[in-house]
Amino acid sequence: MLKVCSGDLDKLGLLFERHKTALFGYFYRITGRAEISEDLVQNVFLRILRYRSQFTGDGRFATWMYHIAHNVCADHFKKMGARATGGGFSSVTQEDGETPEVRLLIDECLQRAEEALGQLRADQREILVLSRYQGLNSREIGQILGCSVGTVRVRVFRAITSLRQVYAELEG
Amino acid sequence: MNDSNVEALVLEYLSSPLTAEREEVLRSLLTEHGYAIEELDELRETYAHLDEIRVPPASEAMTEGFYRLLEEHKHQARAGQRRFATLMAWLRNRWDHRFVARVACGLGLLCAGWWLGVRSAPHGQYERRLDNVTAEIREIKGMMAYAMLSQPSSSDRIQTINHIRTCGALDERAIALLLNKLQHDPNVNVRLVALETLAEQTDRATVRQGLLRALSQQESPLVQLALTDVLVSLGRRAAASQLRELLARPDLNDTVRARIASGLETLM
Repeated sequence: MLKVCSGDLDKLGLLFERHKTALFGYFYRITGRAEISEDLVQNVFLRILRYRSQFTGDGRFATWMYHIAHNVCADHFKKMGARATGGGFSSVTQEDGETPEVRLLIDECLQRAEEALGQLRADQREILVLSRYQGLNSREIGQILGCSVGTVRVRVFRAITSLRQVYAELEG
Repeated sequence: MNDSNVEALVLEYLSSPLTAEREEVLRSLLTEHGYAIEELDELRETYAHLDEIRVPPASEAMTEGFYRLLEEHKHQARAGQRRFATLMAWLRNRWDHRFVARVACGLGLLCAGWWLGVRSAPHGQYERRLDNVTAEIREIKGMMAYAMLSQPSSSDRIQTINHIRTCGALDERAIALLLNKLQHDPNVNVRLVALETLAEQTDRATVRQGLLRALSQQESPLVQLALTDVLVSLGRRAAASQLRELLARPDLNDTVRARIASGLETLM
């Protein structure tokens, strides 16, 4: 990233290739929409280009990138004016070797997990995704969200508890 | 172990399997607080359900869009650099001794003009002109006041005297007019107001002499009393002869007579 800051913009392509899948997953798990997530990934890299001079190199690039992603996500939800995923998660294709019974069971679990996550508030979805999938520790999540390590832990725990409640309701 | 470590350990337990040793530490800590580690198992299971959400692969359009965006940005950056380079080249082409000399002469003339302008700024003239204007305004106001002193209405004349009084320093013409009003105005109240105004100017010889002359001309007991008080307060023996003359008048009011008698005692 420091090379990008010094004017070597081609190096941003390497960073994009390295982080695009994780970043797309972050947005997809929060929004539940693949097309929107793709747009948001591009928005993040556009902001990285514009504000590259603000990267000091003190912390990890990923932490700075997710900080920008958090802002992009917040802007998206502000623009949409909605807390839900907006239409549910996109369908995922069937894998080879699965029997119809197994597939049905998996689909049920998947649908319940998606619904449970979709029913959480956007900030709860985000903190669960950050803590579970993006390989960030509590201190880094605190830097991204602008809060202390203790607050991050409490918010993660509350989000898991909320997820459990929603999940239990869906199980009936 | 403090609360923050317990929180960290709980989240660690929810996220991934702990080592036997760390799990034992967590178990004992939770037992101390009246909880069982099994209560966390449901949460751990729910948290693990998140992994069931499958993320589809991003389309090629996202990658293509990014590289298009990057190319546009690089193109804009190059265009900016070209403009800067063109400007620098133009400056380099112009960078000969004659061009530099012309620019230096221009700047020198600009500085000289500014310096001359600052030096010749007529600050003193402005102040003098302001003083003249103020004096003219004061004179016009004075002339208007003097004209108003000859109005037929006594209340207008009183108002004018009060206006002159509040205008500040009185010039010789104003003093002469006020003394004239004191001596000859037909209205007692106008004469009294004029006397009040003149009593504030007794440090002038013309005022003191005018007051003495006015004493013998007054017929109104009110004005006689007020004049007697002013002259006695001045403490000037020169007033005694005038007061005695007045005292000799047979038609003099008794109150005035008594006041003059006591005044004369004070002066003597």
